[in-house]
Amino acid sequence: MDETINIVRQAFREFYYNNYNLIEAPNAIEEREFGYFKFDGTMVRHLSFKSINELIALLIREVPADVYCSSAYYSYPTRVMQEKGLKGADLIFDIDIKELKPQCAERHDVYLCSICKSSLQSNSTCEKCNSSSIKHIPIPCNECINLGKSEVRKLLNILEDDFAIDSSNKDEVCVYFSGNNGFHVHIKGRYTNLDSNARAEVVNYLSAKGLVYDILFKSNRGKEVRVLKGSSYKDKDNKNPNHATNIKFLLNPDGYGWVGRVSRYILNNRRGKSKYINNNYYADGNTIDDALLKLSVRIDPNVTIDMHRIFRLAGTLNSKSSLAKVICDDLNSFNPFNDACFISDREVNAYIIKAPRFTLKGNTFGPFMEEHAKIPLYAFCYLACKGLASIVTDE
Amino acid sequence: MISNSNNNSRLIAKYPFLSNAADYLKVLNYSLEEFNDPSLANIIDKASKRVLAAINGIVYDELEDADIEIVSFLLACIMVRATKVKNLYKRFALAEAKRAEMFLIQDLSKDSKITIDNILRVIFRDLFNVDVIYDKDNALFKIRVEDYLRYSTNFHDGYWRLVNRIVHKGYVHLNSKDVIRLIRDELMLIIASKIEGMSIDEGRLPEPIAKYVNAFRAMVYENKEFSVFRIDKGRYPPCIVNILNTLEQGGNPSHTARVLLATYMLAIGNSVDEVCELFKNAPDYNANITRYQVEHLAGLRGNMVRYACPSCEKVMLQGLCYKSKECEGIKNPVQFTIKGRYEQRDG
Repeated sequence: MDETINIVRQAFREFYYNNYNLIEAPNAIEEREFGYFKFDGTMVRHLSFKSINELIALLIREVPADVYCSSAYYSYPTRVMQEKGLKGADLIFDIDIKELKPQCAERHDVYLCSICKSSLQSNSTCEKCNSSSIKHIPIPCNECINLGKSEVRKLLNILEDDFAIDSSNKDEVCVYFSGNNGFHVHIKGRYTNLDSNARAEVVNYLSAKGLVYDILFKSNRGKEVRVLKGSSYKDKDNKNPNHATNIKFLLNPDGYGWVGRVSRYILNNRRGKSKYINNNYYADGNTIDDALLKLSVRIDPNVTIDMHRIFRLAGTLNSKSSLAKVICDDLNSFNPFNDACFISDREVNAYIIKAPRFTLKGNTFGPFMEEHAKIPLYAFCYLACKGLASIVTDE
Repeated sequence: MISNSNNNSRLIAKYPFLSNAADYLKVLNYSLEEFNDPSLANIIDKASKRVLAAINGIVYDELEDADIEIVSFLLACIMVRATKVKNLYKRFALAEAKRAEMFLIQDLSKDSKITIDNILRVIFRDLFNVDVIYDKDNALFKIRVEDYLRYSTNFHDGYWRLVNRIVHKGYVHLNSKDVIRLIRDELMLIIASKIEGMSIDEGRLPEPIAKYVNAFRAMVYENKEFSVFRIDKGRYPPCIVNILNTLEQGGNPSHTARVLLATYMLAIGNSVDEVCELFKNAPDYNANITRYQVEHLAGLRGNMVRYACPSCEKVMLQGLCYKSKECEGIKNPVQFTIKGRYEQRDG
C-alpha cells in the first residue's frame, strides 16, 4: 500500500480506537444496512449489526475509509435489495456547500490535473500534459461554512413552519457536519413512511421546483393571494405558465407556505408600498423567481429521494478530509475545523502540491505551493485525503 | 320485502360501498331468488342502468328511493362480477367512484358542519384512515402532508404538486373539490376489490339478472376498449415490468409512469398502435386520448418532437426505478433491451 495511504489509514485506526464513543448508534440498528469503502477503493455492503459494539469492533479491525448506514429500516438488511423488505426510512437532506457556489471558492479551491497531478489556476486544460481531466478540490473556509449554515437554517425554518418538524427536538431533527464540505439534516418521526415519490415532492417543495404562481395563488382561496379579475393567464407563446402577462398578484405577508414567504420577502425588499406584483415584477426590477431563488433550499435531491442509499454514519471519518461527521448541537457556534478534527498532533514530513491558507484545531497553515513542510498529522491527513500532500520518508 | 329507509339509508344510497351496506341489506331482509318476481323488475332495470352507464363511461346520477338505490348497486355489482370481465370491474368501480364524488361535492359544500364532519368521519377516517379537519371559518379542509402525498403523487398535473399547495404546520389546505378528488381513485379500488371478492354462482342467478349478465358480456366483447392484452415481459427492465404489472392488474399508473412506458416502447421499435394497446387495461382508458398522447410522444403531433425515454437517473428520481443486478452499467432503460440484459436474467 502507498505510504501516504498507510499513514492516513493508521491515523484513522487511531481515531476509531480512541474515539469510538463518537460513533452514533442509529435507532433500530438491527434494521439498518451498513457498508464501507476500504482504502483500496472496494466497497462492502449489505452488512448488519445487532449492537454498536459489533460495529465498533469492525471499524477498529478493518479501518474503513468511509462508513455508511442506510437511512432505511429493513426486515432483512443483509439480503439483496429486492429482498430486504423496506419498512421506512429517515428523511435525510444533504446540503453540499460546493453546490451553493460560494464566491470565495476561487480564492481557496484547488484544481489538480488528474493525470500529472500538477496544480492549475482554474478548471482548464493542463498546460504540462495537455489533459482536460481536471479535479476540482474544494477547501472550505469559514465563509463557506457560514453559507452552509444559512442554508441549513433556511431548511429548518421551512420544515418547522410548513411541515411541523420541531428543529429544537433532538429526537426528531439532527443536524450534522458532513465531515467535508456540507451538512446533513436527519428527520425521524412522522415522515419516515413517505415513499420515494412523496420524498421527491418534499424536495421539490423545499427547492420551489415546479412552483406555478397561477396555480398556487388561485388555490389559495380568497383571503390570501389572488389573481385579479380580467387578467390573462398565458404568455404569448404559451410556453411558460409563470411568464404570464397582465397578471397582478395580491401579496399577503400573513399567508402560509410559499405565498406568505414570497410576499414577506418582496414587501421587505421593495421600495414602494403597493401590495400587488404586476407582471411578475416588483419595484426594484426583481421577479418572484429571484425571491424564490433566495428563499428556496438547495439540497441534493438524490439523497432525499433514494430510500435505498447508504449514507455516511455519524461519528465516522470522511476520507475526503479526515474530518468526522459530527452532530452540530449549536449550529451558530459550531466550527468544523475545531469540532470535527480528531486526528493526533504528532508531526510528519510532507510534500504539499498546493494548499491555500487553512486553519485546523486553531492553528493556521500554508499557503503551500509544491514544497516540503513539517506539519501535524491532522493537517497532513486533511491535505492527503484531498490528494494534495504525500508523506516524505527518511529514506 | 323492502322496509322503509332508516336514518342512514340516504347516506348509504349515496355511498353504497360503505362497509355497513351489507348489514343494511340484512335489515332489508332480501334474498337473490326473490328477483325472479316480476314486481322487482324495476330494481333489476335500475341495476342494469348503472352497469350500462359504466360501460358507456358516464355517471349514473339518479338518487330516488334510497333502499332501491342501495339494492340496485348490489345487484349491479353481482351482474358485473358474473360477467367475469376484469376490465369491467374496474370500469364499473370508476363510474361508481365518480358518482360518489358527485355526492361528496354536494355534501361537503353544505353549510352544516355536522353533515360535513359526519362525511369526513365515515368516508375519510373510517374508510381511508385519513383525518381531515374542516375549517368552517375559512371554508377549507386540512389534511396531513403525508396523507396528501399518499394520494396526490398518483396525479399527473402540476396542480397537485405539493409545491403548488398551501402547506402549514404539517397540513395541506384544500378546497372541498380537491379533498374529494384526492380519494376518488382509492374509492374505485375499494369498490373494485369488493366486486372481486364476491362469490357468484352464475347457475343460480335469477333469470332476469342472468339475461343482463349475458347481454353485458356480449357488449363488452364487441367493444374493443375492453380487450385484454397479454405481453411477454421477459425482455423488459424492472421499471417497465412494474408498470406493465400495474396495468395488467387494472391499476392506474401515474402520468410519469405512462410517459416512461410509452417512450420506452416507442424507443425499442413498437408502433403507436402497439403502444396504445398497452394502456387498454387502465381504468380511465380512452382510445382517442391515449392515441393522441402516444402520437404526441412519438413526434407525430404538436411540436413534432419525438420524446426520448427518460434516463435511469430520471426514472430513479421519479420513484419508478426497481433496479435489479441486470441493470448495472446501463444509463437508460432502453439499453436493457438493446443490450439483451434479459438473457442474463434468464441464464
